[in-house]
Amino acid sequence: MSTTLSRFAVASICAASALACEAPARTEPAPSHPLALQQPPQPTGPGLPVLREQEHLRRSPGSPQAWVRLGQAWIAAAREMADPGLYHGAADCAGAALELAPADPQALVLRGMVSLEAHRFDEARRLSEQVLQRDPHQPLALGLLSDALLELGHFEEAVDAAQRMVDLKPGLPSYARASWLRWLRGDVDGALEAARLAIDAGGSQEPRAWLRVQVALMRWNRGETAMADADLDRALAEFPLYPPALAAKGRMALARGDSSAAVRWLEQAHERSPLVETAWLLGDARSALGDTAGAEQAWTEVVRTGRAVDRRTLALFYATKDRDHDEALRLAEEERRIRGDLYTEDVYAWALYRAGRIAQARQASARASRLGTPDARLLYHAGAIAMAAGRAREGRALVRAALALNPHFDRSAAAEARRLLAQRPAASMLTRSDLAR
Amino acid sequence: MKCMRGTVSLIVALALMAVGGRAKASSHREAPAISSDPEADNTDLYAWVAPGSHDKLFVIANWIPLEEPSGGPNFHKFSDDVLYEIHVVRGHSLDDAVTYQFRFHTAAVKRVDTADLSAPPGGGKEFFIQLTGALNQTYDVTRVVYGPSGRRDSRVVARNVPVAPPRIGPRTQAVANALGLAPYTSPVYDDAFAASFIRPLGDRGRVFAGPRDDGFYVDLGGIFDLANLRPKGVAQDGVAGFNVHSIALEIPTTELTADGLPPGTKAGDATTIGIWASSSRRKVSILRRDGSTRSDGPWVQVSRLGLPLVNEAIIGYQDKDLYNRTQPKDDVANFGAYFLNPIVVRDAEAVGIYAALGVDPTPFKSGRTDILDVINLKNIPTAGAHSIPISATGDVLRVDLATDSAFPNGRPILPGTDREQADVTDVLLSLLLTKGQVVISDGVDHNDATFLNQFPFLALPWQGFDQGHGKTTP
Repeated sequence: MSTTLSRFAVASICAASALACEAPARTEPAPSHPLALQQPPQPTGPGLPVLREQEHLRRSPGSPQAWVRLGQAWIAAAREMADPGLYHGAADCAGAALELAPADPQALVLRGMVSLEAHRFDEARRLSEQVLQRDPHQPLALGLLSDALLELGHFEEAVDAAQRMVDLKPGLPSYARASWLRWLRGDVDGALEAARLAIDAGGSQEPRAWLRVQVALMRWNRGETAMADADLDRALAEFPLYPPALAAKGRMALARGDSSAAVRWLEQAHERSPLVETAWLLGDARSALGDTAGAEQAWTEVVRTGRAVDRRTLALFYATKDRDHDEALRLAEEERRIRGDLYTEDVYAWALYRAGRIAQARQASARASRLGTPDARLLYHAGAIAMAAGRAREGRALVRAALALNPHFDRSAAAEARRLLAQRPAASMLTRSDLAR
Repeated sequence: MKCMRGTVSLIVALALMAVGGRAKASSHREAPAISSDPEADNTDLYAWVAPGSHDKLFVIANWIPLEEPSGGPNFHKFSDDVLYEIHVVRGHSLDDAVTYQFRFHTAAVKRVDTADLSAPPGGGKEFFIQLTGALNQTYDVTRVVYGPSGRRDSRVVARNVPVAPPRIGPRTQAVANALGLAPYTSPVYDDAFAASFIRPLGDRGRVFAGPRDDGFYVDLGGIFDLANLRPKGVAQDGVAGFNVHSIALEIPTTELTADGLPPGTKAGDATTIGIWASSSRRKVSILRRDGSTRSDGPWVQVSRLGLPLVNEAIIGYQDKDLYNRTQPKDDVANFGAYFLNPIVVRDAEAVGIYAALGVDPTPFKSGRTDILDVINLKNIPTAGAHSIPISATGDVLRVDLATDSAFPNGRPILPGTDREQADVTDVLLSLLLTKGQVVISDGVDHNDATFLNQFPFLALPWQGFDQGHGKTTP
């Protein structure tokens, strides 16, 4: 509509909003939130939404919602670049939003997402519960609660929260949680079906690519390496250079014995996202190629980074490589203080096994296996521990099951599993408990 | 104090940044918390009666916002896992009287042995998706009629109807057509080709589904920058050049009136219906019981739309999830306060719009029963024409079948022009901000394509090859 009147009105409105844009600039709380407002990396790629939300925020610095949206953009960027450091921006935004509106549910959930990433699981749980107490129908808070409960070792309660989430809002976030919980419970077909629904509902690139990587890892975990590889190719076609997909490509290449391809994929992945797990795989791939010095270099990186930020993976690395038993156990014990999920129990069990504390290892392994998770590493650990505890028949069956499920689940662990099976039953009863000391 | 704190966190920030440039952490298995769901996202709804004769109702419901025409290789399509619905309510009730349900089905791609060099083009071995058959999508239409005392009569009125394919480019059209690959049954993607996807709904109307030009025109950039409105010529049509996926219906009005008779020409509640569209996805059991292999839980609504811009301009950010999962019949209970006290007025005041107009915003801030009266067509088309009670207010597009439609009594496209009958953005901004006393415009007043003279009315979709948002480079 373009009457004279409306033209006049529009002109005046423009003048007014131009003024309005400048006025708040003076009261902008930017200086107290430098991390939220810093320039994002890759400002023309994954960083672009962050720039846009920052621009939006400059026009309405008093809006808690604008801070929350900027925080969510930081988290999306952190995921896309697989750079957890960008969560500092989100943390800063949560702080700013909560200064303006201390009870804002979205701001509390944002803070909870930061807590989760920082492995402050109990804090994440408390924040989500705080939101849900006032409004039990917040899908985002239910997802956060489910994630936190799972890490804290409360599987059934995590399922319950995820069920409430999907009942309220079926979509990629809730289907993805259904997929992971089903997989942990041993329902691989159900997990793949939920992942398919999630991918169908996934409009955003990174979340969909993330699901494809999860699907690939589930397939790989039951030995379907070729199909897994195709899933990863799709992920990379849709979202090029996605670090979790690059790392998984390396894992697949290593599993099928193409070590030089594995090295290339893993170097690419590690350069973009220096995760402890990726460095470990890179070391394994270089070692398989005969590059001993290169392997040592990568494994040194595992120790360096693991000590700084990821003690659970470092503990598993030590235990898997059968080295540094005391540090491994200490790290696993520390992790157990904040985390009770089955992967933490598994690492603890394996560290105890290496330390020769078989009875305790047996208990921890039982806790790690209680859901029937179809992960070859868990099965192998349970089997080896059972053998060491004198349950040769049960233990050998588990080790065989691990290798049947995924013969290449880990380079050194799978080799060790084969050696263990090759040993005579009588000898194997003595192996770990006595020799590890 | 503020400065002090600023300095402290700046130091903290620098310290953090100094740790090797980028922070490292353990790989996290957390699934994404937030993700868009465009295939289940309603974008617009149009409905109007055939002028003069009032014998047909046209409904166009759109999904999937801002589809980039060149968005291969995974071109947008309707989701096979979504229940798409167009709801019709009648008179003083917001319960569905008639519902049209749409379920889509994509053909499974045939697996072809890649070693078989004599295999003809087509199937899963192909690189280009238009050659695989994966763009072969069909749908079924179910008409549900709700009788008195909750009786529900559900009937499939069209089966295996083909969906119009994406308009990828001239070579796709020519090659796929020459190879005889459905759905490319024409060497060119023109109006006649698109019209070949129109099918009868039994003997009671017609249906079309497929990509079209997004017929909406609005300065998204301006409005979402806190109503930073710009004059015509400066304002930008934020949806120009983008496609949507449309479902278009042409329904005899006798299918919709309570008594099954023609609506005639006398306005009134008895001939007034309300329309809204929705999308639903299935619940799943997080842990499946043994034996259930399919995901076939009940449907949960994840998106809906009735009047334009209600979710965007009236419902607060914190309640958008609630809006999307609830029904119009509960809108008064859930969102009454948003309608009566529109937040957008306070926002507009905060950014100085009223000061610029020299208008006192106080009367527009609360007690806005005038908004409810407009939605319920109280004085439309004539004073006292309708008396739908406030309790029956909901986000539905009201259409009095007995009168020629004019927004907000229906929302007609003007066939053969590049305009809707009313600039709905301007009408709603003016209504919300000033009770219509001052015309407020977003400065965009026509579409970037000309509407068709006939069903399905929206223009051809933009072609990926040369009409996308890419730019030539030197």
